[in-house]
Amino acid sequence: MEIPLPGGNSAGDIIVVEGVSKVYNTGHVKVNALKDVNLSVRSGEFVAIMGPSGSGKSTLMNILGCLDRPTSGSYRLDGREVSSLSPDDLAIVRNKKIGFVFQTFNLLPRLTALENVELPLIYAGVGPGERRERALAALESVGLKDRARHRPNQLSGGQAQRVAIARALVNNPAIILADEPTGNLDSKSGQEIMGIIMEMNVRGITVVMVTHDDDIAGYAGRIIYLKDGDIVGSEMKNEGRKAATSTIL
Amino acid sequence: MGFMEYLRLAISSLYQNRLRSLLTLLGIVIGVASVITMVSIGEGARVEVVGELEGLGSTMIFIQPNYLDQDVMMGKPVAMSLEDVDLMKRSSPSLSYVSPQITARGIVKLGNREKRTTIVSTNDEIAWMQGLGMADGRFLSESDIRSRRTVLVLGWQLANELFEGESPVGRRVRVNDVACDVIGVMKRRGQRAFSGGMDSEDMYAYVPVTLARRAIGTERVQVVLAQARDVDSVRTAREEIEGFLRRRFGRDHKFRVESAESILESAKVIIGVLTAILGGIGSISLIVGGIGVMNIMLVTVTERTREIGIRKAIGARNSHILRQFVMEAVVLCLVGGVLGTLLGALGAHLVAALSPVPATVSPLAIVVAFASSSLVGLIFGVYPAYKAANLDPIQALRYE
Ligand SMILES: Nc1ncnc2c1ncn2[C@@H]1O[C@H](COP(=O)(O)OP(=O)(O)OP(=O)(O)O)[C@@H](O)[C@H]1O
Ligand SMILES: [Mg+2]
Repeated sequence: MEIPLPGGNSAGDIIVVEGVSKVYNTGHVKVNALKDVNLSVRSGEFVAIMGPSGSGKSTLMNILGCLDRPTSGSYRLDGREVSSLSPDDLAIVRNKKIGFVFQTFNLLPRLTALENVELPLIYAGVGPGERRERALAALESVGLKDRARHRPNQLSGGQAQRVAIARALVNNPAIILADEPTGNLDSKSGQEIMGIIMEMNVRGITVVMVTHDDDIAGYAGRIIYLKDGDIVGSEMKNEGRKAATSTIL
Repeated sequence: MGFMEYLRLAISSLYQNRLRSLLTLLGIVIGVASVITMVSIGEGARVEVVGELEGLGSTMIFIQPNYLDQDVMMGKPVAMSLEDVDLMKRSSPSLSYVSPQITARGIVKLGNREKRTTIVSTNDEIAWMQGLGMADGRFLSESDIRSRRTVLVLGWQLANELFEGESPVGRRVRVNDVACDVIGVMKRRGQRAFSGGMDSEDMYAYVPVTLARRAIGTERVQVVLAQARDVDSVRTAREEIEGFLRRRFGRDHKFRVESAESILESAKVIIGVLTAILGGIGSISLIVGGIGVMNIMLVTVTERTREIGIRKAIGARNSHILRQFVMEAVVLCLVGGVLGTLLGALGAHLVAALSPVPATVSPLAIVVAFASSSLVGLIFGVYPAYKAANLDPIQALRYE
């Protein structure tokens, strides 16, 4: 059961999900991965999504990230209905508005850190000179300027994830979507990553993050609990996040 | 994302898989090389044959009074007499020379040495038309023809074989039992192309056409060689000849009048077909090479599914992915095209050096090879690239 938010559709909401369902058809078995989910996220908010394995967290993240489309329901991103956009338009939205951080980093192994960070800018049509500059700046912001020429297999897990964050940030997205960003890291690297994510959030980027770790979830201003494709609970943290407090009461 | 960007990306991807790229390349190299070599052989044959035919002179006209194709085998062949040839000459002002040919195999005998060869009954004009030169003595003259002199001109080789070094001029030989005086020996002409199965011209014996009945036993003219005054009057001359033959032998009579051009034209058509067939054979290996490219591109796409997923997640559109993979296939095929052209040129040079066909690499062959190899890259690269472009981003990201 989701707690209805009175101001949910106000202009400050960057993510507005209404009645979204996702059904996977695998042969004869139908999986209802999401069931009539309603969710609003205010611009600048930091939301953590928790829930048991198979509860639909990644499914929801994929829809929020425009990698997938809901079976039914509406998803407005930054005021624009995106649930029925064409694959190419979704690609443009992903490129301009969204930065992904994955559990397994998902860097291209053959490219250097710098080239990996440049990729979103290539698809955005940014010229080589500006691309290099911005990618270096992004690497610097995650403290890895000196690793620009390294390939992913020459980086530690924490460093690789920082490169991935630099890549997510380089095109100035409105939202960072992180699906278990610390899942493959030891706790020290995990905290470093969370430090960087917090910093991005402080700078105004909306963050939605999936995690299994209560400590990691503690960084968020709001925690949403998913179970069997349903939002079953939501918890606001009073200390810290200003955006979060303004949303609840 | 610009063209150079895709090119750089393609080259670096291909470089990552050097050995595989090289092996795939080899298929294209061999395909392009065989197209180039084959087309060059065809082109060489064309140059050779056209040169040969043009050597005949473009004002020459070849007349067969009876053209017995299958349709008219039933019809009665007409006999064109020497008088008819004279009449034809008089009624065709566009002709400068007319020479009837009555040819048969016969025996030329010196003492008890004899040679079986081709006896040509003709007139003096053939020497003017074909520019026949003499090694010794003179050719048949107009008065030899008019006076039906029993004289004979020997081909170079025939003279050597009969006289074995002695001077033949002034000696008497028997042509099919008609005693004739040798008045000349032709210059050596050497083996001509397309004389397979027949006596070489160096073995011919020439007698006056007016002696045909006595020496060969027939006066039926089989072939008339004629020459128009100049290149521009060839067409008129042909019309005059055709008109004459119709008036003389009837509307429905089948004959054949060919000029060097028309023979040249049909030869060009035949060689064009030949070249196309050779090129087609070469193309088969190019297609096989293309299938190799497609196969490797499919493997590449599968291997790089995750890369495709990542690229899509960060904003690559389907068209970006499509172009990336098409570019890889096209680069592969174009590099193969360059190397194949070099190899093909080498092959053509080898053929030219080791065989009588003067195979030449024409610019056309190179253009064709390049066009076809990039086309192959496109055709066989598009499907794998299309597959890559249409991968579902989530499935692709999950791919292990
Ligand atoms: N492509 C798919 N085809 C069929 N079923 C799927 C597909 N993707 C997910 N599912 C199903 O949807 C449900 C939700 O999956 P999802 O990956 O969203 O879970 P999750 O909450 O992210 O789990 P975890 O914590 O293990 O990552 C699961 O039952 C899963 O089996
Ligand atoms: Mg998951």
